[in-house]
Amino acid sequence: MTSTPDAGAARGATRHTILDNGLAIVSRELHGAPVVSFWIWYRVGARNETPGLTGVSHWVEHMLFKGTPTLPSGAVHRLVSRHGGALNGFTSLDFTTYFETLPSARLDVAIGIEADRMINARFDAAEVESERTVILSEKQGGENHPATHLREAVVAVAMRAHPYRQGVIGYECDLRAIARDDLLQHYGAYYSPRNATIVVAGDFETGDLLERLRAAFGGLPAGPLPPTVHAVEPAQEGERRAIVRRPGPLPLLLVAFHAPGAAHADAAALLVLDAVLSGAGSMGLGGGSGALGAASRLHRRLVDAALASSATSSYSRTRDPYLFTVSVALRQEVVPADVEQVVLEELERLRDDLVPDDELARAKKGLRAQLAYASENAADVAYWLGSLAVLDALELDATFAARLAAVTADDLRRAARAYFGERNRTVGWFLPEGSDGNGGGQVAPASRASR
Amino acid sequence: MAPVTIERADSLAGTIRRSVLRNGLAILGCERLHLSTVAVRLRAYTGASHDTDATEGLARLVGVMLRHGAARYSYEALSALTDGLGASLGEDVQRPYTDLVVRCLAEDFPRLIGLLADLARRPLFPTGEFERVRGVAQAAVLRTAHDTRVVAERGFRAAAYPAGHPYRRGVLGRLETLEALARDDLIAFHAAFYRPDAMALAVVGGISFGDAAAIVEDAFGDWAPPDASPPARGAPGVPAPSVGSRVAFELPGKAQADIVIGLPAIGRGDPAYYALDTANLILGRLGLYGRLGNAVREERGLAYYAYSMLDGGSGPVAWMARVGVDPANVDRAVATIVAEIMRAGQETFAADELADARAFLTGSLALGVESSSGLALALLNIEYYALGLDFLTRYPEIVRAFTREELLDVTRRYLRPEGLTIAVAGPEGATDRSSR
Repeated sequence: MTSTPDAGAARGATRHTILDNGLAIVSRELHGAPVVSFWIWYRVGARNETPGLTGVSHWVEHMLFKGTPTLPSGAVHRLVSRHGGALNGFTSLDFTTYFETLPSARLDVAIGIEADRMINARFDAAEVESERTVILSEKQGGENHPATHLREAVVAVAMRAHPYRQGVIGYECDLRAIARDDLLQHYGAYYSPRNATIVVAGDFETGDLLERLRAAFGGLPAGPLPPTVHAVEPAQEGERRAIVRRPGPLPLLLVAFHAPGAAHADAAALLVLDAVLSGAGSMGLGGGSGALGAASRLHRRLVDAALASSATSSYSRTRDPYLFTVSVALRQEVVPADVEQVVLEELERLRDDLVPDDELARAKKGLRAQLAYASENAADVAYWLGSLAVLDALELDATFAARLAAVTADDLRRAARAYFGERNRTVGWFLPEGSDGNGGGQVAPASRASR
Repeated sequence: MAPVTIERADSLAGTIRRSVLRNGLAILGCERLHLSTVAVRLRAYTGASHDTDATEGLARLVGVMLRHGAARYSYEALSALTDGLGASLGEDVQRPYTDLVVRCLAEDFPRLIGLLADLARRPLFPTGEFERVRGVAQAAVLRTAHDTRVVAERGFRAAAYPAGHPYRRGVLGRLETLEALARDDLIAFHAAFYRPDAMALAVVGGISFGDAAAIVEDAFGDWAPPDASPPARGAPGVPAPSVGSRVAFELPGKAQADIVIGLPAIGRGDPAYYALDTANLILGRLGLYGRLGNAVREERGLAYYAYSMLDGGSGPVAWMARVGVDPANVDRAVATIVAEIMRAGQETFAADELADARAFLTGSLALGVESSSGLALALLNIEYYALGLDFLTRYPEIVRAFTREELLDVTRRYLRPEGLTIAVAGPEGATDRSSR
């Protein structure tokens, strides 16, 4: 076992430990409340899926709640509830994670659950079939929302080679065809100490924690090396467009640009650009609260101008290059092309002009505040550390604030020029069926402000 | 001028302190000096329950408009201030109350309290902003009219509550009521219901309570309440529902049907509230959605979500079981849920179910108040519902006191299967049955 405090130790003792079987452990003590949040992250998600098996990572996640020989189906929920805890699991493009947040005296409950289901999940055949309809229902629930259809269309048009284009939930045809053996094979390939990171934050003593973890996980075999993902999304060479027409209330716009992964040097500038456009985004688990971003550019040009109900941007922190997006929900009786024009103008302005000092300072202060908010609770801290660790970017924990603080207006213009161009852009519209977009005219590409 | 009362109580969340200004504004707080942030929540004891059928949506519009300009801070100025400080400012308008919710760095607390005081005391409801906010609300009404979950709940409320009852209405309002509202309606609502003796403010985070209370007093202390007594809270009772109904709404293009099954029950302030809340926990929350989740999701694989909930507030609040299913499975899901409700009223919960529920309710207290914003909300509920400053300490005793027979009795009294209203919203085919 190797164990080293990282560079952030001086401000809060984040400890990074690797057991002999390759299991990584990241821990940070927080003694503000008698609570501990225990997370286990597996490096498997939509990124690791192949055609025909889309959604398999998410399905495996569901099956890890369906029992082991010692913890039958439903027992995990009962066990954690019995101790007043909260638990969940979720699957993303890059990872699958499970957590239990519990009164700190009950830490062993979480350790026991995760050590067991890392290798002992049963995948009972009847449970697999029952869960198939549950997942189809989850997918249907998402499809009740127009934004889901628009997002799926835009991502699939913007990305052609990388598995990110498939999304997390999977295609319906795959969800109807995936068999128990597919799930088992996926589980065996990715659920092992070698491919996992445990993150614990809260009210514990580090030495004691590491002893418990070594006792529970140290004897597990390292597991196979997961298959390497070779996919590289080729550069886009011109604007792409996607239009979805379905029953729905009002038009939605989604503009997407290819953007680099979380560990890229431009990631900090993209986060600040996101803050300039629509306010500093949350770094925590549950999202921010309230109207951070009311003075941001998109809010002023679209919401304050009565063109939209909401206007947000988002930079996703992913392992491989993915997308920077701008999303707008239109007001009634607004011409869609007018809204697209405004969005493209604002993006173009970032390419042409330097962001003024006061606006830059405001964006950076917002991000600094979001970092502080994400340090308040054990679950938020664990989520933050885990989301970095699973992208192999844990060193950012110690340097993140400084990287954000160092971003200059020149950095922003350079990044905007690198990523917000016409060649790199996909424009998507959700248009209510039977209407032309509520504005009286065909949705045509807005006059191009971008080069 | 010092606050007129200072109380304190130790709890698992730390020491809770309470002061009341001479004008009646209650201040509650808990110091977490290791944090660089502060969560603030200002509650006005008014919400959508004070709307009428003709003004549905008014309380929410007032709550939203508080953030859109006051005497010292124009909308532009307050947006620049909050964004410049990295502070979030939002509103949470519910039926019983309206909260302004702030999160900020501790260093910026005085400025945010000054801002909050201006917004709560001296809102201007500028005409241009009002028109814009009204338009956004109308767009939200249009969007939610296509949301199966929202449509099912609206249908449930319309069928389960009598005309004119505040719990029959929605918080958001309707297109026609929003259109009919005038700026003067907002001004009058604010004048009638926003007053310091019907408000409370909670502060949790990296500031001492003494400093926080002094800053709050500085900003709010000279706000004199009107002479008249504060308006009544709560909602009128309704007859125990004895005849149920089934309503259905067809929404083209949807993949899933959402169902609400429920009835008017009891809220905070009723002696049986905590027993019913515990029964609800076992029925539709504990573990993966309790018995309902087990029957609908785990055993039958019918749905991704199936749970039950008891609304906040006092009086005959809604108890609802909610589920989203494939349109072909609507009747199976309804039958399964109704059968579980009937079973809960026919036989006592198992001893281990009650033990699990008690353990969950007791243990989860620590989690609920771990976050600053979670504790701020809990403190305001303690104040609003007059639960006592020692409530967090007493709560485990309350939930440990119930017997299985008491839970059976409360379930029989308030979750009567014959009085259930069933509302379904979904695509064609999901809504074929219109009565049962």
